[in-house]
Amino acid sequence: MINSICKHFLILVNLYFTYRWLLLECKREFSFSESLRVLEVMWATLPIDNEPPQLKEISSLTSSSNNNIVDIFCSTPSRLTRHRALSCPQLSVIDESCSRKNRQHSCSVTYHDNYHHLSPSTHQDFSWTSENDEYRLYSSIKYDQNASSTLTRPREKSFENSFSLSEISEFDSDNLSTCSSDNPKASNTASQVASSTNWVLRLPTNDTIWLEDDNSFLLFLCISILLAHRTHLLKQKNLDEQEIAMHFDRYRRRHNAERLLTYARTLYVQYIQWARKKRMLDDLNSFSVS
Amino acid sequence: MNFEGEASITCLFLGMNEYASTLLYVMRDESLAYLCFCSIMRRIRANFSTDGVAIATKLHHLKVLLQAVDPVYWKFLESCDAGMFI
Repeated sequence: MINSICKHFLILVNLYFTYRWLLLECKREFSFSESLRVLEVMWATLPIDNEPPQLKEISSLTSSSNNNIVDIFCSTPSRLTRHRALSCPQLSVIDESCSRKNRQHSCSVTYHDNYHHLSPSTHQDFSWTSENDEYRLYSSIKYDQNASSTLTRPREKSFENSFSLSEISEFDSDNLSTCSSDNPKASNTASQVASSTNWVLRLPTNDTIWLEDDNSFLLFLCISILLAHRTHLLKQKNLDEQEIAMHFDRYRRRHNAERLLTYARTLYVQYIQWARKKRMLDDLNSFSVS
Repeated sequence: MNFEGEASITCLFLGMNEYASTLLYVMRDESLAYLCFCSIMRRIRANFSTDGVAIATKLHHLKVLLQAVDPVYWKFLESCDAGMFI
């Protein structure tokens, strides 16, 4: 009885040695020059902050005619969508992410118009505010191949950068094979990672909250670090948590950034593709139900 | 310059210096590094809060992820833990 309680408690406190990894985003696990690269790669996966810096100068940068739009964008992104759709197109003042949204948006405006014609009694403003989601779903179903680009807004934020993932997935296998020739330890893990591409199926399907972690690439990087020590640790007998922690401590600032980033990218890509597929299916299901 | 993030940093915690030093090294300019530091802090402030909820969530996510990626490895780590008390 006590044993089971202890075990339960220990499972809860498990992986405590990864605390520093998570707190410092693995900065300490690599040498300084490599940590710069790791941080850059990791931060590049984060969604672009939609809030511009709160500087007074920003209003002087834009011409007076565009001020309105920029201000609306700063305060309420959803209203901007509407505003911009009505005064569409040409908004070159706003940065790249906006122009992407704008493109996305302008291509779906026509669909909306179709939808609007189907229900001519709906007031236009109203349709933009409350039926936005429904309309997006409508277009994503009708144009299935473009569905990923017409995701709803919160998703768009969390997968802001996912448009580039198709490129990443192209060099997955090449990268792993070149990487595995470097190091026998690497080949073990790499082949293992490559062989178990269906690991995503083991993820809990009902628990979707954790998928929204603010820096999920960090988690995959931590997993890669853990996997890099897999063969070594599995050979040891009678390790306890402290010894494991000490083992990882010895490798502080000594990890191979290039190799670990490759693992992490592979896992991350597999995860993102799975998550996007799952979301699309969920959207379709919820649409067919309603 | 009127800057919003200023008020958000109430006190410095152990580990924040890692971020600050990295940014200062890259930006080479204290004011720019400070701006970046404030922006980063806005994102990761929760990690440094004393209740530790944010990090605990991350640890949990990591655990779930490891269980999915490599169940054998996870079982091994689990047995290392349990071994202390048997």
